[in-house]
Amino acid sequence: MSENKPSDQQNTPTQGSMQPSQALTRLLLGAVLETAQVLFSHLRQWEHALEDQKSPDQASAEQEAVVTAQQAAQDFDPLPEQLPPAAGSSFLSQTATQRASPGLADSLVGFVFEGADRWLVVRGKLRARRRSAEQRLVRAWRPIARPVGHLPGSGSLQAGFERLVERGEAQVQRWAQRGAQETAHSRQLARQAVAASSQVLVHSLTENPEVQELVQTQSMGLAAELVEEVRERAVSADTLVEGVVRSLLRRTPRRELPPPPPQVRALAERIHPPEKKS
Amino acid sequence: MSSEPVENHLGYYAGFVSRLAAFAIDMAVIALVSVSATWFLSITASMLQVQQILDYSFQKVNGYQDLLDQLAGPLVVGGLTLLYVVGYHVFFWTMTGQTPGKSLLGLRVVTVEGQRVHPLRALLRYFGYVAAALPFFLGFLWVLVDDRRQGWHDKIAGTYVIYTWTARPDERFLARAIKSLGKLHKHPG
Repeated sequence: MSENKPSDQQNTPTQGSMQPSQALTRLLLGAVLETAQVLFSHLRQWEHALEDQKSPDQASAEQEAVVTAQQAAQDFDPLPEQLPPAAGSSFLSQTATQRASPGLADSLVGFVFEGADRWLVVRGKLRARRRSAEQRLVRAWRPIARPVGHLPGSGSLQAGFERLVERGEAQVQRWAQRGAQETAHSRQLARQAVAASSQVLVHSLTENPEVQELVQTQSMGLAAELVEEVRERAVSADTLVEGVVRSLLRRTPRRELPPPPPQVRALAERIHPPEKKS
Repeated sequence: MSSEPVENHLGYYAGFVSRLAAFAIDMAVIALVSVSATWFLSITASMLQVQQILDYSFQKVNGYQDLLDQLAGPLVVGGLTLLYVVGYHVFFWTMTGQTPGKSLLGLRVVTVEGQRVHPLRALLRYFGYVAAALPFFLGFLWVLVDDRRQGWHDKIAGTYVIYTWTARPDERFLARAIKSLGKLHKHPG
């Protein structure tokens, strides 16, 4: 039977109570989890895309190399009776068959990845050995434990030990439940934080007068650019055609247009004020 | 005379090609509106059965059919079209000095005194078009050789057509065009 201490109940999340440190921890945890989830899903997609892009020969060569490396990892004994000859030589020779002169950087990267594969295999083997060692220990302890169990006072000891185990298991179960709750809560908090931040950012961008001006300028820019282009071409054609006609009529070419009367110029400047020089 | 290059030609006299392009745009607008209005009126008349009503109402009036032919004939239609075209130009020249075509090309019609064009002067200018067009459009082509880039209709009405933007030529386009013309001159055909 688990005993709920008051201190345990105080730590469970309750509605309306918020501690800044807890909220920050939840936010960070949620951010890490969400980011990791999104990153891993993208990584999977990218890996699949890369696999699809590879030619069949390349894919089969790489698959063969992976299988060879995994076989080498399987064959690797963490507690050998005698040292294996030239550890890693198969890896080196396999690398050498793939490329004529492998670089140091490539070798180190390959070493890291193979090391990770080998660690997984070694970890499995170590676990298996630990289990077998535990079984041997239990088998060895049983003949000793039976007479000890019949000694006076051993019952209460055993009951106390079992209570301790139960309390430990209950505590671990509470931790697991609390962890699941906090994980879900943290993820929700992170998603909400991202959504709210995005809204605030979009709102500030839309309210920012400089951004508004930029958007307006961009949208009007294309049409204005087109009109200006047409006008410039027309002015160029004016100059060109006039020059051609003057040359055909044997008139002196005009280097500069005659300026308009001041009143006409003033009217034009009133309509379109000249751009100020920066 | 100043030897410094002019930065832009704001307020300077507009050239032949710009004015021709503006005129073409105006003609396109006029044609579009005329066709649309004609289509709309014919659809409306057929829906309202105007022809049948008139035939029934005036069937016993002598000379009704001749009168109807006159009304729907080229004289009346031509007159209405002329009225519309004249009205289009006079209206825009008076109100803003710019028809839609001129507005797009950044041109404006102003008097030689630098004032807005009054309706009578605008009407005079339009009839100056007729004088300019009669001798094989020589009055329009006069813009190419005149010092102030005026056509005959401008001289009759006392107007200029000026740039209302910081007009400047497209130097690259001009250089390419001059180069092409130079090649044509050297190797015709």
